[in-house]
This record gives sequence, structure tokens and C-alpha cells, in this order.
Amino acid sequence: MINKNFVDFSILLLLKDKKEYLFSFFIFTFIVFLASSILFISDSIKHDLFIALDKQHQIIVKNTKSGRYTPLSEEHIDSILQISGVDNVKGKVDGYYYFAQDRRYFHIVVDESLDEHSMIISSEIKSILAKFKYTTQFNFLTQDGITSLDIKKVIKSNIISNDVILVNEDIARKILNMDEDEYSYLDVLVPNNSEIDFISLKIVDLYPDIKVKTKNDLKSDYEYVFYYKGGIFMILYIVSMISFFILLKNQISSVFGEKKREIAIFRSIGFAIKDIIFLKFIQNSVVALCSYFLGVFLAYIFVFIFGAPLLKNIFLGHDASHIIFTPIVDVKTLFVMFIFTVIPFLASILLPAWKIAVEDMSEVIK
Amino acid sequence: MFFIKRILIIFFIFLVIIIGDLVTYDYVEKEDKIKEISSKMTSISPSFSFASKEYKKFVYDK
Amino acid sequence: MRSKILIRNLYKIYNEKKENEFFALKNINLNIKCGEIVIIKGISGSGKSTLLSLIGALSKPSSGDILVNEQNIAKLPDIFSSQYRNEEVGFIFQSFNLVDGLSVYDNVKAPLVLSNINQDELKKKINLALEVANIAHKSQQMVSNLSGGEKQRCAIARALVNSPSLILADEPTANLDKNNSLIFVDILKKFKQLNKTVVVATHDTIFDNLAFVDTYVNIEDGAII
Ligand SMILES: Nc1ncnc2c1ncn2[C@@H]1O[C@H](COP(=O)(O)OP(=O)(O)O)[C@@H](O)[C@H]1O
Ligand SMILES: [Mg+2]
Repeated sequence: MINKNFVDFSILLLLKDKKEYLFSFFIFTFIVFLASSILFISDSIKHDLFIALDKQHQIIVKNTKSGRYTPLSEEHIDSILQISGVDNVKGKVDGYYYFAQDRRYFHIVVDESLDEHSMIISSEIKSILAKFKYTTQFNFLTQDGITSLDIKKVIKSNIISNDVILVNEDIARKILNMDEDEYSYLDVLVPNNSEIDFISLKIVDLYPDIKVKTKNDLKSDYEYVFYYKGGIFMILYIVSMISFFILLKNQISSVFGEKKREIAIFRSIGFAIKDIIFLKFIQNSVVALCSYFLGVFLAYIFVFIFGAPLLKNIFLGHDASHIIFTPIVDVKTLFVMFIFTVIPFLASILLPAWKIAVEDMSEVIK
Repeated sequence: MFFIKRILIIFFIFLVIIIGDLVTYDYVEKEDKIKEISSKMTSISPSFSFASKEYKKFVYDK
Repeated sequence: MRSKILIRNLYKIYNEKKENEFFALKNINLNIKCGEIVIIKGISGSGKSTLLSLIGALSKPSSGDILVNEQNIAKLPDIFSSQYRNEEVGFIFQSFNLVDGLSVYDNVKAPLVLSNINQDELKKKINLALEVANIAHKSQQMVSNLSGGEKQRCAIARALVNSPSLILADEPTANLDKNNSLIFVDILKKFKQLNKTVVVATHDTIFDNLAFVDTYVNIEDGAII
């Protein structure tokens, strides 16, 4: 039975000693803030990527030579079409153009609806080009000289469109220096899902140099990317948690040292050991819960309202200012984080509280 | 109790801001945009890998 | 009259079975009746505080019995000895033992927060105790700003707030000037009127030869003489 007078009194004591709790409060809030910011960012990116994957073909075929990607030819298309179960094979032109002035790569993607003189760019690319005074058009340097394209439209930057320039297929070949019968990738259309793995093996059988990616492979690739990114932060998080607990332990021993007499006074006026522990539990729950929720709330505002300055670059590279994170809140992971932060925090406080509560009270009589 | 109420009020304000942001965000528009661009691509490479060391992966060996 | 506290063959040994073993109390036998005022006298180090802390269940005796209201408190588990301290005993310590940083009112409230009484009753009890201890006018002051005498009156209010039947005072006048010491003697009389059983441990001569005191107990080297 929760006794309201007791809770009130615990909070009264908490406010009395607020200076001593402030330190743990801020550190705790910061750790939760950092951890949930990372969670929010990676969940948001993952969410967008998986949406993008939705529109992907079942099997994507790339060619390699001495470990590097090389274009595919009509011949590949023809022989893959022979495999039974394959409905259609489409050769695609897609690649990266190196913009030497700014030392970066633009992703050239084909859009059939465009004519020979125009392109569609992302807002990120627009601002990059603007830095070099290309406001209405851009000159690609190609093998056969300069190819000038007008900026027809600017699309919003998102996780996959951020570095994209959409052009006509012929122009794309020109920019990427590919011949008429060369393709960057092949899309293989397999109507029967259960045949996908078998057909991928068949393709590799035909051409050992070819790399085949199924939609599922891509999915696990993305998971891996975030596993790796998340891994770094997991380590950071663990390190900060550990240092936090070391600091906390120091703080506890000093604070509880001074508080020994106070606890003895409470014991002398009738607080049982369990009451002292409950008192500390209430106080530290208030601190931990406030920190936790404040950390999560601030992280949301930081990531989704202010666009996560600083952290964004770690995840997305240095030119991601135009990407807006899709607000995704995964309650389950937040709950797991709750378990892994609040519970150890409380445990680390309650043990020393118990140790002091069971000590004898002879101090008060002196 | 006064203290707890004050904290709850602050958290409530935060929640209102967050829920307001979640509700007003146009997920459908964003989803359409992503799907539109991804349907044009053959292989999706998230932009962030573009800033990584794996540049050379995209360089064609001629 | 019914006996309030009955002490039989009480021993308290510090650092038992160690090199520095010390017999602080030796074979104490004492019978204190309901409503009595008892003064325990003895020089410093004679064992007065030890005896009070045993009666108040702040520590456990090495052997012997302490019966309060015919119940042996010598071997109570923590939960019950805490309840006993909370409901039956009011302590007045030499160094007052108030919680710094809290107001007089909140200090007096402390023993009551363990019981789930409603706000009105809580206020009533606190205000009554403040009245009796004559500190009501300072109720919102921080205890750290009080004078010695005021601190003690605050401690008295806290001791009285749960209306205990037993008051234990350890050197109550040691940190007070003459004037405040006399005020405390008056308060003792008030306790008598309220029919509290009071045990005072002191070496202050101000408590000598008081008419309303029922018993004087002299203690020397841990034994009653
Ligand atoms: N925790 C303790 N450990 C060892 N000796 C103690 C302890 N507490 C008190 N003593 C000793 O017991 C004796 C009686 O102490 P106390 O009861 O405080 O005396 P009084 O209150 O009469 O001055 C003293 O000699 C003191 O040194
Ligand atoms: Mg003493």
C-alpha cells in the first residue's frame, strides 16, 4: 500500500538534497538522450530504406572483374532470359559521376520521361551546384566533351534521393561513359517467389563473376549497416554507462557518508530498514524516471524537430543537411532501454542504502 | 505532490509537442517520394554509404 | 501500579569476545511504573546513554530482558522494534538530532509519515505538539536557524507528536544555558501532567531534589548503586 504522506515526505527530502542529485540527474539524462537519439535516427533511416526496398525488383545482377564492378552486356541478358522461371530481364544504366571540383560523387539515375537537355536533381545537389554558380544548368565533363543539362526540377532530398541526378538514358550512358550495349545492373523479374534463390544460383553458375543480390540480401545488408553503426554507438553507450556508474558509486559513497547520520535519525524515530530503502527507492525513481523521460523527449525534439545537428553527419556523411528524418518512435526499443538504464540505476542506489540502513544507530545517541 | 504535478505538467507539454509533430507529419507524401525515386533505381544505395570509403565500389573498371 | 518498564539481568557488552571487550552495563535490574519520572544519574562514561538506547530499542542488549508494557523488546525484529520506537517512544537527544534543511514543521511531521493518516489529522497532531512544546510561532523556520533552546523544543515537539507513552531524554540540558534548562524542568512537569513515563539520563545537578521526580537511579561503571 503506497502511503501518500510517506511519498510526500520522500520528495520533500529529495528537494532538500537536490544539489546532490543534480549530478546523477544530468548525466543520466544525457546518456538517455544520446542513446535515444541514436535509436531514433537509425530507426528512421531504416524505415525509409525498407520503404524504398518495397519497389525493388526481386533479383539484381551485377558483374565483377578482378573484384570490381564492371558493366554487363546484351549477351548476359540473353542467357539469363533462357533460364526457366525468369519472366523478364531489364538492363539498367546507373552509376556515379565524379564531380571533381567538390570531390564528391553524384548518383546518376535514369528517368525515361526526361528529354536530352534536362535533368532533375535533389535539393542537396542543388545547393552543392549553387556553390559553384551552377544555378540553372550544369556541365558534365564526359569523354566526348561537355554535356550541358538544364535543371528542370528539384526534388526533396531523402535518404536515397539525396545524391541523385535523374537524366535520360542516352545522356546517362554519355555521362557514365558506357556503350550502347552496356548495362550497370540487370533487373531479373521472377514471378514465383519460391524460385528466387534457385534462379540466383543458376545465374552464378552461368557466370561465376556475377554478383547476385536478392531483395532479402539487400534487406540484411541494410540491417548490417545499422548493426555496424549501432554497434559503435552501443560501445559508446556502454562505456558512458560504465563511467556513469563509477561516478555514481563515488558519489554514493560520499553522499551516503554524510547522510549516515540523517538515516540514523530517521531510524531512531521509527523508520524501519524497509522504510529507508523505500524512501531511497522513491527518491531515485523520481530522479531516474524524470531523467529517462526528459532524455527521450529531448532526443525526439533534437532529432525530429531540429534535425539532429552533429549526430546527423555521423550517420549520413557530411552533406546531409537536406535530409529530414521521418519521425519513427519504436516504443519497444525505448522500453528495452528503460530496462537497461533505470533498473541498474535503481539497483546501484538501493544496495548502499540498505547497507547504511542496517548499520547500528548508536551515532544518534552521541 | 506539488512537485510531481509540476513535473507531470512539463512532461505533458513535451508530449503535446511530440504528438503534435507525429500527427502533423505527412508520412504518405514522404513514402510516395521515396517509392517514386526508388522505382527508378536498380539498386538502392543509401546516400550515406556515398560518403564512406566504399567509393571505389562504384568506380567502373574499364 | 502497573510497571511500565521492567529490566532484568541486563548486560551490554561492546566488542564482545574481542580484545577490547567492554562491559558497558552489568546486571541492571530496574522497575519503572506507569507515569513515573525517573532520573538516571552518573558521571560521563558510566553507561547512561547505553541504558537509554536499550530501553528505546536503538540497540540490542547482550543478554537480559527489557519488558515494556509486558512485552520483551530485547529481541524484536527490525520491523517491530521500529514500530515500537515510532509509536511508543519519544526521544529527546542531547544533540537534538533534527534534520537540517527542513522546517520545524516538517521535522515534527517526520514520525507521522509512516502512518497513513489524513491531512487534517496530520496537521492537528503537529500543531498540538508544537503548542505543547511552545515552538508553534517558529513552525515555518528552518531548524538550522534556531537557537539551542528552540532546537530542543522542536525536538520535544517531534518526540510528542505521535503521543508516545514513554519519553526518553539523554542529557537534555547539556547543550542549553541555565534559563533553557529551567524551562526543560518545567516541561518535565508538563509530561507528568500528561501522564507520560519519562526517563532522563543526566549528570546535570539542576535535576537534583525535584519534588515531582519519582525515582533517582545512580549508575556507576555500568552498574546501579
Ligand atoms: N559503540 C561503542 N563501542 C565501544 N564502547 C562504547 C560504545 N558506546 C559506548 N561505549 C563505552 O561505553 C561506556 C558507556 O558509554 P555511555 O553509555 O555513552 O556513557 P554516558 O552516556 O553515561 O556518558 C563508555 O565508556 C563508552 O566509552
Ligand atoms: Mg551519554
